[in-house]
Amino acid sequence: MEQIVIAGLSIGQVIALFGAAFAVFLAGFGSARGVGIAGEAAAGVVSENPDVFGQALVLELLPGTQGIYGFLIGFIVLIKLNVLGGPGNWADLSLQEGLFVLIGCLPVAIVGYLSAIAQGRVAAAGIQLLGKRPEAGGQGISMTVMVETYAVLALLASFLIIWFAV
Amino acid sequence: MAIAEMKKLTLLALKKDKPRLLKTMQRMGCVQVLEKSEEEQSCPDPRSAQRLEEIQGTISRLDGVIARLNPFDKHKAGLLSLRPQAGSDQIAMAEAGRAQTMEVVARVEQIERNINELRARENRERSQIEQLQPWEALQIPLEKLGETKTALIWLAQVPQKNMPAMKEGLSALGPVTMEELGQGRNGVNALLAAHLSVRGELEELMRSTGSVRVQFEDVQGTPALALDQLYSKLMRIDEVRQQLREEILKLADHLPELRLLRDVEAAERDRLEAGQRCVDTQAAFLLTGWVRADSIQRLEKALKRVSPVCQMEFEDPAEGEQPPTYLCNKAAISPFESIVKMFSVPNPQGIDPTFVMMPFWVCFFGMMVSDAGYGVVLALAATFVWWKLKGRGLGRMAFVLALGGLSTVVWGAIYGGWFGVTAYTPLLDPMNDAINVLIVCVVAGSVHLLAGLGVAAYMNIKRGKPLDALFDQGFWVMLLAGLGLIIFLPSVGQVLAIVGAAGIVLTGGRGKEGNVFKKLIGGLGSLYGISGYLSDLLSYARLFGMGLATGVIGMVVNMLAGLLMGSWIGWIFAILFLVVMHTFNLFINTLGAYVHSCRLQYIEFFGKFFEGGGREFNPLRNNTKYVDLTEGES
Repeated sequence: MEQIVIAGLSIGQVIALFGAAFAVFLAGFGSARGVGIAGEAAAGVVSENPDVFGQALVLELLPGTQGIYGFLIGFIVLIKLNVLGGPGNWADLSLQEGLFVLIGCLPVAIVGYLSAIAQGRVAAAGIQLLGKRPEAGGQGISMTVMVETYAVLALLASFLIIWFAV
Repeated sequence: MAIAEMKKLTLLALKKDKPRLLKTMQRMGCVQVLEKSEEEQSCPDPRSAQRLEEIQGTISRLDGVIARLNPFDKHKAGLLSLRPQAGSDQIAMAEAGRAQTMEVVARVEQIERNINELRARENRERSQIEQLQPWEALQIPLEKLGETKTALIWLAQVPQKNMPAMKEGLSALGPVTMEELGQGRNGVNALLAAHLSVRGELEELMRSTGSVRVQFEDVQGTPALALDQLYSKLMRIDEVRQQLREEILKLADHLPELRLLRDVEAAERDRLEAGQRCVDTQAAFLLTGWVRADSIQRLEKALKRVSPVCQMEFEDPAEGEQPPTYLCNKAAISPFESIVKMFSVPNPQGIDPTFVMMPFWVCFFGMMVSDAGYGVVLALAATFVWWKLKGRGLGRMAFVLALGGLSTVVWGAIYGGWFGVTAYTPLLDPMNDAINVLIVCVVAGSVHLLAGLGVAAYMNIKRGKPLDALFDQGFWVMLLAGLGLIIFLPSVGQVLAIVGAAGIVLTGGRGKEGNVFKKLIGGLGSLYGISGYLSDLLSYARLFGMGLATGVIGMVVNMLAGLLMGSWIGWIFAILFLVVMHTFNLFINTLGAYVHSCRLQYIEFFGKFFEGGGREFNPLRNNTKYVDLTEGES
């Protein structure tokens, strides 16, 4: 098969890079929205009751992990491509390998995006709960973490696909 | 161990001893006074009700003043300092000095009111200044404006765009002059002088050009003079305010007394509230409450010493009556109680799972943080906090984290991660040997699940239902263990699994109504519960996922820092970057590991046996905000 080259990169490399970009930006965008939703609620509650700031901050932070997971997968793709080895030393990927990487990035990208927003909503509700009953902060945190499970599973799936398929 | 046994106390004593008896109970902190029942409902003693209201008022005043003075506290207590303690001498002094302390409160409240008044006055002056400023060029005293016998002198604001029309109209009117004094926000400020005879025409002209007449009431002298006076007034306000601020700063020295008095009053309020829950007669009162069984002797002795004639009776909880739950564990385990309580307070008929849960929690926490370097930092930092706070309050949490840190060191050493650097060939390599790490996680999870089943079986046996233990837990253990064993010992594993599964099908539907077939179908249905166990087991994959996240982020941080390390300035930035990012990674992963480790207990583990819905034991005690009251304690 004839090798297709785009701007000096093989098609496999280009597809893999797209995958990394998807993972980072979709998961990051979701986290930004999730933390944003929780942050608005936190500011409202803290304005009434400054003492719960610490716990509200923890709740606000929880939807932030999806962005980290996306970044992590993006970075693993860069390791696989040996991008950090400098230009010229990039690992060549076939079209098939590139597609594997792209598909591997999808779980963390899509689940990360959606679960971060969902988690942001739960976190916001947890912060409201905190405002009404400061002693129930731990329960709010537990509820918020339930959503996180699926982001962790997606991270795991993405990692396994990329690490073992290429 | 576990959940403390509770007895019901009925105390009959003389009313005159009531305050001292309640005080003794509060000091010992082992009696939860019960609300009186419907038929015992009598009208509350008006005197004590009034006193309660009064004391609540005092407490909220004290709280307000303390909050006001707190920012000026010169001896700010650090986050890691112990609360001050007050013995009986200090409490007596606080009570003796109550009048003086309340004077401080009144003074602070007075200052607060004065400052508010000053603010209102300042706003008034400022708005007047704003109005006067555009007229500063006017040389005529303001009280001289208006109408004389023959002429009128007005101030007016003329919109800029209508100025030409205004001028034109004025020149047509005749005996009128206009002097422009400057630009204001709403147009040109002008002084109009006219003969009274043209007043009507002038008003008409002003209306048509949109001009507004401006009048100043209660201002004397020229605008410039008035402004000067206003400015000096503002300065005086500032001076007074400065003085008040300084006084507040000085009053902040009284904070320790205020805090102590607040807590002393709060303790009295709690006693009064408990006292209102008793049934009173003319000379005696009846108190019912829950007491921890292990403190009965101490309580009896102490109460007899206060009031030799009082009568006490201790009973077991009646059928259908739920005593409050008090978890008591050894010192090394009790900090983990808060994790259980975050889920639910255990039912007193159930079991306190803290003891069984703790090793799993610690182990899972370590697997998820999974970096030995982070573990060392966490263990050292948490131990320091714990030592500094003598294990009280936040120190209990620190103890949990310190143990978690130690576990992290062990798991980090196994995974070979030290601040994201792999220094040697690890026992288990999460990056290159992922399948084996996943297997370890699932095995750890199955041990956890089996332990949960074990606790459930233990509870069944303790309640005299050994058959239930075999049917509901024993067969499941056989099935799960058998399925696991198939990998190593196929013959034994198969037999075990088949026996287990058959047992579940035969007994799982025994609670169902109807004939044998219905029961068998019910049994098949409960065998379907195996899918639940499957999803439980997969849930433990998070142990790997979270651990991986820590390791990879650490690695990424090191790589990026490596890119910076060129020149000496790059080194400085690289080191800064490393410290900040590793701290961040440690923080976010500790948080994640903490909550995920809790989740594994709540859903996967507690789901097998936990009976919640208890109410926490809430005895009458010194429940204070600022100061530990140690009156009469040895």
